[in-house]
Amino acid sequence: MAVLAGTGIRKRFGGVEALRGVDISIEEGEVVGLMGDNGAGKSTLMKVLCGAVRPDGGTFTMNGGPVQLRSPRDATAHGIAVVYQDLALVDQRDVATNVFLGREPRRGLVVDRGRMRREARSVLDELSIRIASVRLPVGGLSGGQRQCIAIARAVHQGGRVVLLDEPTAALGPEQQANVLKLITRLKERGTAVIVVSHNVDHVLAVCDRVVVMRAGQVQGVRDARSTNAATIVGLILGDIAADTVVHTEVAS
Amino acid sequence: MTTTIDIATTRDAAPSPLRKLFGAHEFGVLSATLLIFLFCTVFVPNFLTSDNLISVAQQIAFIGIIGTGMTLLVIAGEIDLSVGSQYGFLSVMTAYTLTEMVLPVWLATVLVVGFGALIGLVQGLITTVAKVPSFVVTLAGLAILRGAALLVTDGVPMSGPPNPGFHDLVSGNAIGSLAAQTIWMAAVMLLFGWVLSRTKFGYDVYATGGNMKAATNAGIRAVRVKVLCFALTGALCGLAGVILVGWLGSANPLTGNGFELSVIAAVVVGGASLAGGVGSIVGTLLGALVAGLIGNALVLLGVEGNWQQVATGVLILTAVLINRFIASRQSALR
Ligand SMILES: Nc1ncnc2c1ncn2[C@@H]1O[C@H](COP(=O)(O)OP(=O)(O)O)[C@@H](O)[C@H]1O
Ligand SMILES: [Mg+2]
Repeated sequence: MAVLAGTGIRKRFGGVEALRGVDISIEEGEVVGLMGDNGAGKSTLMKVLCGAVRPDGGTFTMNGGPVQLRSPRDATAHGIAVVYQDLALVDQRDVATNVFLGREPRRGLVVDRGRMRREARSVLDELSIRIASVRLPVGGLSGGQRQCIAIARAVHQGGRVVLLDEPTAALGPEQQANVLKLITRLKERGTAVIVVSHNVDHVLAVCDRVVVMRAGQVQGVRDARSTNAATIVGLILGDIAADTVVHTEVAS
Repeated sequence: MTTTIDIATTRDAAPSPLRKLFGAHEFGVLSATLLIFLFCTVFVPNFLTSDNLISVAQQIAFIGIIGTGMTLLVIAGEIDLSVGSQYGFLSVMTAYTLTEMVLPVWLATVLVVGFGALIGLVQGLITTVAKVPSFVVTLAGLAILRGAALLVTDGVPMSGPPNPGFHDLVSGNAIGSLAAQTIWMAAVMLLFGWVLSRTKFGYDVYATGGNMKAATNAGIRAVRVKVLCFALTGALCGLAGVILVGWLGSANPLTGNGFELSVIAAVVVGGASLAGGVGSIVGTLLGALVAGLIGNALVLLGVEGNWQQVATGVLILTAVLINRFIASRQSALR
């Protein structure tokens, strides 16, 4: 059963129909790659799934039961964690605080800073993220390090579904490899991951399933093991006609 | 296992106290405080007497109390230009509830502080819900509340009740010859210094002002955080009003005219950024102290009172420039 599924999701921004009836679902421990040209609606779909954007239409279920995703709080409460394409860190605050943002461990009324630093460090180590000290303000770190901290937060706070919007876009090769390794590790932990990426090789390497969007609709869904880069690129460019069997394929 | 923990603790160990001091946002204002103090000690006659220092501590009490609320508000990314008018209006309200309505002091205090919180709540809601910049909302508040204070009193000071117990509580000699106002300021600053730097609410205030979108996405109720900071600032204006009326035994409707300038000066001089996300209560205390010391020195040197305004303005500019310099040096260090 799908840990998270959305059906018939629609979203319009003024004259732009960003999502025109999108169906998406993901299983426990599954990695879904979300691909598509710029403006296809990938980021909007991710924002809808994490409660940051209210859709105009569509229904959601988690483990078969209907859920409302009206706000990021709702989504977080349901175990959906997100890493935004436009990073969402508080530059003035240190690494540890950003890893725990909004969920600081407490001892009574007081934030347990010692525990926060220790746990932040162990999360960073687990993900092979190299940062000199968790006391550094994140504003002074490199783009790659900042992306990694954002992912570390999603991992640390995330429950069952982690959404990554172009997590490797701003990274050097080594850190890209770290992120891909990290996605695999999440999968092993039984976490469901939806990852937006423009890199077909990355997607085919770590994903179980590839969902290709085009102009606000799902153009095609492919099993990553039985497809190839040419097919995916064809779907992205619209050279390969849209599937009519999307629903059955997702359901099976 | 132990080795990893050891490595982790050394990597993330606190920097040495000296490094921490030089890197702190408050380093500029701390140096300024010390420099001014030294200068005054050497060049200003009668400066270094306990009576004079105690009176400086007494004079900055109101800036310190209201500045505490303003610090939280500025860190949360907002500003309140109406604090001077709130302070004046709530002073008048204190005198009114005590002399006209003849309420007991505790009840008058609860009403005034509560009404201050309500003023803050309304301004906070207009700012966050109607999305009008707080600069504009509280500029309107500045005019409305000053007008209200003048209307209620017909423009003449309203006398408070002759109540020696009340007077002692808010302005008597508390510890040794330290004035009670100073103790009230210390209590307020200690409490909210702790709230800001240690509690979840304090963390939320920094996150909200640092990056409201990130805070909201992380599940922090940023709007509520901001509104609470407005309400707190209003409540502290009420507290300051009650203390003032108890001290002077009367309320002048012009109380706090232009006071927002001194309060914002203390907060900014103390290292807070008007862009939000940066600042501290210790900084604000030092900022108030710098302003208090300069004012005191000018008086002792017999300089005309209007120069104090000029000095405050120069102080704000200098502080902002120094803070900018420190910020760029910090990023260069990394
Ligand atoms: N907040 C917004 N306001 C107006 N239009 C938007 C907004 N967000 C996205 N869009 C539009 O919706 C479409 C899909 O955008 P997006 O989801 O960001 O695409 P992708 O991430 O696939 O590149 C684009 O045409 C974009 O301009
Ligand atoms: Mg996008």
